[in-house]
Amino acid sequence: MPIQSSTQIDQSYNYEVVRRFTLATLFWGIIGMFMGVFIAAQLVWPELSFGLEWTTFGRLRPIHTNVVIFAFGGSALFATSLYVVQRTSRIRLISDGLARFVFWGWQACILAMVISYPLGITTSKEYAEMEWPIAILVAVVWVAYGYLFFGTIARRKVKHIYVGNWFFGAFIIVTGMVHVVNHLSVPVSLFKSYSVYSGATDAMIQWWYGHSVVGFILTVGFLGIMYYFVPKQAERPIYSYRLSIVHFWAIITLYIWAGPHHLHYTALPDWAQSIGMAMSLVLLAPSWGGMINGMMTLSGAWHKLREDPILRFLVVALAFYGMSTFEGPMMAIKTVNSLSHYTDWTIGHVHAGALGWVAMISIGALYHMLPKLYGRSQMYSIRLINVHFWMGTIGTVLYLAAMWVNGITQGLMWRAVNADGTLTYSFVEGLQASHPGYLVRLIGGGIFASGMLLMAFNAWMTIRAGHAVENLRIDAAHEPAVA
Amino acid sequence: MHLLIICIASIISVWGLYRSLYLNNDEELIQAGLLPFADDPDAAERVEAKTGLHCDHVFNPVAEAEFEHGDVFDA
Repeated sequence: MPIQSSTQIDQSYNYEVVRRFTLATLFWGIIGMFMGVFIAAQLVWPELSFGLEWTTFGRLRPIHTNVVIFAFGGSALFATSLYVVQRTSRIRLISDGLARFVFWGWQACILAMVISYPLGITTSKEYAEMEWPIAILVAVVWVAYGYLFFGTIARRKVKHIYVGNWFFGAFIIVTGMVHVVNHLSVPVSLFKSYSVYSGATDAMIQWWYGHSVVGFILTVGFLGIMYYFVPKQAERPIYSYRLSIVHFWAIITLYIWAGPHHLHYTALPDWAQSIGMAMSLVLLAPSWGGMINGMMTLSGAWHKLREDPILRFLVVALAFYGMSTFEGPMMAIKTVNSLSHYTDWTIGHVHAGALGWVAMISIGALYHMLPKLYGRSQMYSIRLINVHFWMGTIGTVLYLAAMWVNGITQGLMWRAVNADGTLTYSFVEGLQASHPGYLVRLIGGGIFASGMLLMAFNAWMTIRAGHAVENLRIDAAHEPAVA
Repeated sequence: MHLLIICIASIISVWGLYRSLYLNNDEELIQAGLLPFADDPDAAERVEAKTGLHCDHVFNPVAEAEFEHGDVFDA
């Protein structure tokens, strides 16, 4: 197949920042996922904390969650959004210097988080553990990113803003908003601050933010990826552009209200819990509308799944998206939540989204982009992509099955009471019953994370070959371009 | 205050949906759906061959850059 040199590509689009974020996605994906494997091992063998406070589960878990969400997922979103906005707006990013600032600024934020959490420097708010100096740096980088993205859209050379960019835009605006509101705090020292909110209000703001991280970073942002990369890889336009518009407006209207379902049966007013439950249930409709729109894009192209493992990654991601967006509203029902909350079922649900949806769609998008970013016609090894796909799928299924079994077991054991009203099982008995599930989860997570090593090898070999092509750019320049 | 915010959010959403759906005709929506292929002439051709949908705005990004920046191969 004809090839195109990286030098040629750089003249049209700023691919430098996209390449950097792509490699950062790979790097942080490996770090974050293996950190998850390590803390999963700690739950099987608690001795792995080595008796040190810096390596306890409580301090390492925020590193895993923040690295996979903000470093791996964040870098994937930076890479894809800056790639898509240029290509669909028919223009280069408005500022190369600002793009470099966004990349290095974001890496600085991640490093600050990774260093501060084991030292115990944390706000203790989930997914918002960063102390105030880091939160300010994140806000500054985010504003720069917003300016870069929307500035590029403002100077676009096409009339219409492609729907994928709408999703990326909503992700940028809402994430910035909830980050600033939730991190409003009173600093008492360089490394310690207290939230300006208190009591149930603080909890509600925290989970308004927390669920918006799930909703607008891990869902809406990645739907932006879906709306570009599924049609592009399948070589079919999105099944219904009209439906994609309805999907957009419905999902951004509803998602922001679902946060209270994290606080069922707490001090939060009952009416707020009910609103959270109702909005979560309604959310099923746009979520499935988007999933069906993505799936149906393959109408007449299903045969491509047989020979294209990249498309398989993207479509299986959509299947997991459909599954977890069905499971989420069900778990938000208060009676179901009374069984599932605080159990491993929640962990299983989160990872159905994180591994099955977020990681799979990111991996598919990266495999699509990598050859184009490095002037290659395809990845170094299609067979390795195929092996990676099966490792990812098997790893995810093992992980989810283990957590579902554990979660329901725990929920039932915790609520079991004897005729005299005493608890049938102690907490430790529930923990002992969970041990096999923790081992299976470790194996599943380990398989998934190992797949990332295959991807890194495949990417490295593709990039190496890409450099060789760049050295021959004069000859390559006379070949017709593949974009 | 809460009611006001809810009303404003609802109005913006309904207005946005109306504007997006009804101020674009069918042909414009089809062309919008083909935007991912606009800068990829080969893919646009394959899409047209398989679906019969023609992308009106196909361009070659390298050629356009050449026009804007001069000889791209000197970079």
